[in-house]
Amino acid sequence: MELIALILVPFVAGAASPFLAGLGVNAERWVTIAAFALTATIAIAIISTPPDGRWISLYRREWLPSLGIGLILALDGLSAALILVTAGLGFIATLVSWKQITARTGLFHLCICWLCAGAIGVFLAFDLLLFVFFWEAMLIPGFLIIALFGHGEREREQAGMKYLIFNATASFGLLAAVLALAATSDPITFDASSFAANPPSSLQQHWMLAGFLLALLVKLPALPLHAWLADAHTRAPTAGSILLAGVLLKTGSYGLFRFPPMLFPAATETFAPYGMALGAAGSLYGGILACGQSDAKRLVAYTSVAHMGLVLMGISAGTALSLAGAGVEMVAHALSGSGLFLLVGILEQRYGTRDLNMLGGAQRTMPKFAAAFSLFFAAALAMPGTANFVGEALIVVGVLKVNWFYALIAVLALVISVVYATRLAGGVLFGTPPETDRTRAGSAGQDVSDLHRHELWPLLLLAVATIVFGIMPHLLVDFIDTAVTVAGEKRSP
Amino acid sequence: MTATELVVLAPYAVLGLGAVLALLAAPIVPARVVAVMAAITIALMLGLAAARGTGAFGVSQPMVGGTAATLLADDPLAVFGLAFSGLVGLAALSFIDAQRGEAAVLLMLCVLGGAVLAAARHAASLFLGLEIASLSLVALFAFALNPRSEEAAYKYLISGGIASAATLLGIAYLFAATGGLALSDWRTESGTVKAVGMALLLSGLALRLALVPLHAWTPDAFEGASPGAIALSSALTKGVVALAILRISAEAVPGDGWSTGLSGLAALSILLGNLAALAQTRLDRMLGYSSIAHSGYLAMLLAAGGTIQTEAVIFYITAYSLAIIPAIGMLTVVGHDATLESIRSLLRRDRLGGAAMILALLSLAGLPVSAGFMAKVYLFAALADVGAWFRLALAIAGSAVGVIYCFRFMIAVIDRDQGPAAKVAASSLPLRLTFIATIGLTIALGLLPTGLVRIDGP
Repeated sequence: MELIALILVPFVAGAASPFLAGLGVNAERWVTIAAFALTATIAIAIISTPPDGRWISLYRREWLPSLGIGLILALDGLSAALILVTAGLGFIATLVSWKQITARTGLFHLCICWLCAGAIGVFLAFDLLLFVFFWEAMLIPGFLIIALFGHGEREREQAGMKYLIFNATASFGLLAAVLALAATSDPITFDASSFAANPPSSLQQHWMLAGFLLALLVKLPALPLHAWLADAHTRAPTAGSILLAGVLLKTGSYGLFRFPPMLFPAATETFAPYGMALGAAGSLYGGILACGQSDAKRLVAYTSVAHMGLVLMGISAGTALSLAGAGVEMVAHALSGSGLFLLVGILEQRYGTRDLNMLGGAQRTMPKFAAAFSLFFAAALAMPGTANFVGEALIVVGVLKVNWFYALIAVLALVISVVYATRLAGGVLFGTPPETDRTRAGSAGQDVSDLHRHELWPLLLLAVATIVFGIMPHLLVDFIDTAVTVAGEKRSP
Repeated sequence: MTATELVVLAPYAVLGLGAVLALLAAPIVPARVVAVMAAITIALMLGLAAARGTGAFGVSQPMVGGTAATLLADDPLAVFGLAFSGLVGLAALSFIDAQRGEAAVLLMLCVLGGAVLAAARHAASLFLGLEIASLSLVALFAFALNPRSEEAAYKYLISGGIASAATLLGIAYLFAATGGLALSDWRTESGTVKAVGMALLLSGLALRLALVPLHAWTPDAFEGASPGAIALSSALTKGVVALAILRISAEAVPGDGWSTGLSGLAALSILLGNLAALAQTRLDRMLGYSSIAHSGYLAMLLAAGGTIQTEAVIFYITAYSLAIIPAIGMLTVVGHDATLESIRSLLRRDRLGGAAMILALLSLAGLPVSAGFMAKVYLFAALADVGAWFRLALAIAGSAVGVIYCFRFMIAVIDRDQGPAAKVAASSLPLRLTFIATIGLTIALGLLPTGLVRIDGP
């Protein structure tokens, strides 16, 4: 029951926010914040109870018995970690947009809440049709955030359509694969745990895995299905980019982590080398493209491609170490990626540009901003002490056990990450600050305001989490251990 | 006439008598009164149908023997046909052209034809149901009496006439092959003559479903006819023709050629309907082409067979009607020539209508939490159930394209910044009720589809 509450709390808050927005006292913002705080509290309350075997908590009841569809929600360490990240990022996205989104706040908060509710549903669903249900439900608020609240009249709509076309097409592939899988069962069922006992034939597995991969790799995004990402990120408002990077991309890697090894063990075996190759290509390609960007937000968007490439590599390699690394990296990238998008959003708001050639000197004009930027810059290049280092180191070591060549490429990707991170930091922090209206007007001293509290608290939260998981990674690694073991042994609970 | 026959036939009789009474009253009483008469008649018919369905009259055995039992089936599917026709008729009544009372009379006849068609188990009742429904539609199409509506009516009349001729010829072939006119008489025969007859019969029904290549009347009808008539021609006739095909497949065992032909037409409709809808900027034409695509999905379901087919067809036509009716109803609010530009920021100008429109487009696109998503699940599940992988792939590709054009219109409705500032005409109370009912049912069926799907097949 409490698992349903995790989905319902943000859902209800979202449904209420258009009505609250009419009150005019920021009621919809406070309610959204309260809802995410409540969601996080419930999640913490659930995980503090002792786990019951495989799952920390399991909920099961009938939904559509004639079609064999059940309301099955299951929570283990990996889902719990990602749900906490989702609630936290929803909280942060609300704070960040406090000053940035002033029109149609009711609809905006509805989208934020429903996007997070959908993502939490994805992280919980253990009935495959329920998984697809949440997967597709998540699509709509994400599209609206980009297409209605983004930058540029025409461009935001185009970016939204691009996001939609990629993701909608792919998710129908997932739906078809799920239905094909269910058709092999008799009586028909969508309960994921029932398929592991009698998996479909090898040929069927390969086709069904192809359907799953289509949807999961688009969301991840893996080369060559990443083309929607850069535009969506660039055009989305800051809150949208945060949720896109921190939540939406994680649903792809989560699905990849959870379902293929369990449902299609044989086909996953076949896919593993290709998955590693795709991941390696993605991490190199994303990194190289990131180096060439002068738009700070686009640069950060391509680093997502690079980091998620590493995650794909780790999951495909399938060793215990690499899977644990992928799990840690998912959380770490959710934190550091959102942090960087938040900071770039602040830059754009202060200076009206994201062009690295124009920006500079932030360490003089905005010292607090510069401190935060340095931390997430360090996280992006996986400096020891940040959670990203733990994740990427584990992935490299895990991949090395399977294939030295891809491990080498992963290391190379880390080297490239130093190049783009340095370019980003150099362009933003050092040099001369760009002219703003106030400096042009001749006013002396502080010409842009440093972080204010709606920005400071979210950044502190992200920074603390990044460092805590960097210094004490065992907290996270132990927590997701069950999920890692199960995925590594390619078996069901 | 036995008591069972009375109970079974009462809903049809009430509709027919009500239509005659309303027709007599129409010249002397105001149009509004005729519309109320129609609403009362349909409500009475729905009540009688519900009483039959639940066995409230103390008659629970099915009707056997006698003329009525030869013509009309008496099973849950027939009761569903009555309820479906009645409810769609009521919804269409809320925005039919109410200048003249005769429109409401024609609507009642259309509902009667639909209900008969859904229950028909004999060539005579099949043909009569089809003709009652489509001839009243021809008159309704022309009702606005302007060149565009007359064009729509002529197209439907001429192509419908040819289709009726084909249907009759098909029935004649089937009679020649089997010597019987009841659907079940056709069951045992499997020769060429029967196959030809079935093909001709199918072509007549496919025109009403607007399957490619017999679809050409649809976009023009959507563009020219009055919204009430469009709603009847797209939601009501398509639904009941689908039910009739379901019954023919079960009782007459039309053979492999029938389902091959049906799925071929379906594939063409999905391709052409979706691709053409992608290019439209007028709301009515987009809906027209998307209705062709949806007929394609429906025909694919009808061709599939399998265990969950009946359930899937019933759910699909309900979900589709719940989506297309508010979308067409919106045409009376935003104007018949609404384009992508003129519906911009509709949500701001008309909260309820805008919300109904958004949900309708979501449902047409087949995304949660609308009934359209569950309809897609049923469609894909039925195709996967019989292992029709190629058709499944085609349905998926079509659905993906469908999302794109539906969302283009949806984003226009939600967008606030651009678009005309003018307020839209306030919608009437019945139309608002229709919007509220379709919103509620679309979400309810999207979350809990079980209420609808416990209906046994023919």
